Amino acid sequence: MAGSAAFEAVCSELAGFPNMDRWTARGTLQLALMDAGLEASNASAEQLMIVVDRLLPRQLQSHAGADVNAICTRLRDVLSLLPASKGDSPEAVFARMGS
Amino acid sequence: MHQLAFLCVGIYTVMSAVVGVRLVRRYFATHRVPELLMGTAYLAAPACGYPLVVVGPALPDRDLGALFFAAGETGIVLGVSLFFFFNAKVFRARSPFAFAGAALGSVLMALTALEVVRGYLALGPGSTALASVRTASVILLLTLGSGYAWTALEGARHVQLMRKRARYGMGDPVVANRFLLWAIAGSLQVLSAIVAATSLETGGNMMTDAAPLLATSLVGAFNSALLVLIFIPPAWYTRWLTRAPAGALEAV
Repeated sequence: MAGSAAFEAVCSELAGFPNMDRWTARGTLQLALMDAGLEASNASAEQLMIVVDRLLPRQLQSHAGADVNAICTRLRDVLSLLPASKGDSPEAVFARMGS
Repeated sequence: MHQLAFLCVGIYTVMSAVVGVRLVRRYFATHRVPELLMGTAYLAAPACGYPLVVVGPALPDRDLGALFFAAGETGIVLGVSLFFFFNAKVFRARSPFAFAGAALGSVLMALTALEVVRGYLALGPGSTALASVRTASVILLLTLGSGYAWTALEGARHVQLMRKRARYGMGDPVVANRFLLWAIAGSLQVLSAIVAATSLETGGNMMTDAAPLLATSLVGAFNSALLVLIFIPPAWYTRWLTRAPAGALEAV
């Protein structure tokens, strides 16, 4: 199943680093998202920024030779360029419902 | 008992109408589809469908009663179908299986409601004596219950997700609580549908027997309170939920 624009952007970038391929990148990011209680289909750039800061470094440490700091800095740069999410995530819909 | 049932249905009808109108009005301002689906669902099923199905058989004019009953069944089918599609659109937007499931549930409800109305037009309120009408009613109730079960499961799943997010400073405790209340409301509707279906299956009358009357009445009254807390939360309730943002999510 396709992920949100932010998820796909991070996956593409992550897959370009040494010792990574498309599937490893997706799997690594998915594991970090699961720990954070997020879903690939509607994770926003703001949420992924927190994942990259706080959860992804731990996941990347299991990949031998990965320069965790360089990867996370690059991913933060990619995320900062993305426009704010306009998607209707369940959280956004339920936030509106009672306002 | 009947007066209590009418009172509870009345409260639920009024609250559903208020919530439905608010959401539909919001749709016209924002053009967001979830608001339209949810608002129309509340207007069609609990605000119009359920009371019409209860009032119809009580009317002395049989033709008018049949018209009310048929309109009520139509409202229930439309409303619950929109609940199905709300779930698919909001929680499973990228899954064709979810939309197929919503469509299947809607068709099943429409077909069974058609048989229930056909029986009512032929025999009036005693039509549940017919095996075909009784079977159709049970299937209708179970399909309706499955729609609310889906609602409850998605709500419960999102409560878990919000708890995880809270550990990393993400997630709003008010929204997390809304998911929790949503899950409780859905679970109670499932319980009510199961009690009514069991009553029918065992030869009872869900309009007159104590168990289904009590179940639907109490669920209606309790869900009215939940509707307020979910869709029109009082300021004191929101303040209570956000009293300690770091810990509030752990509590919901």
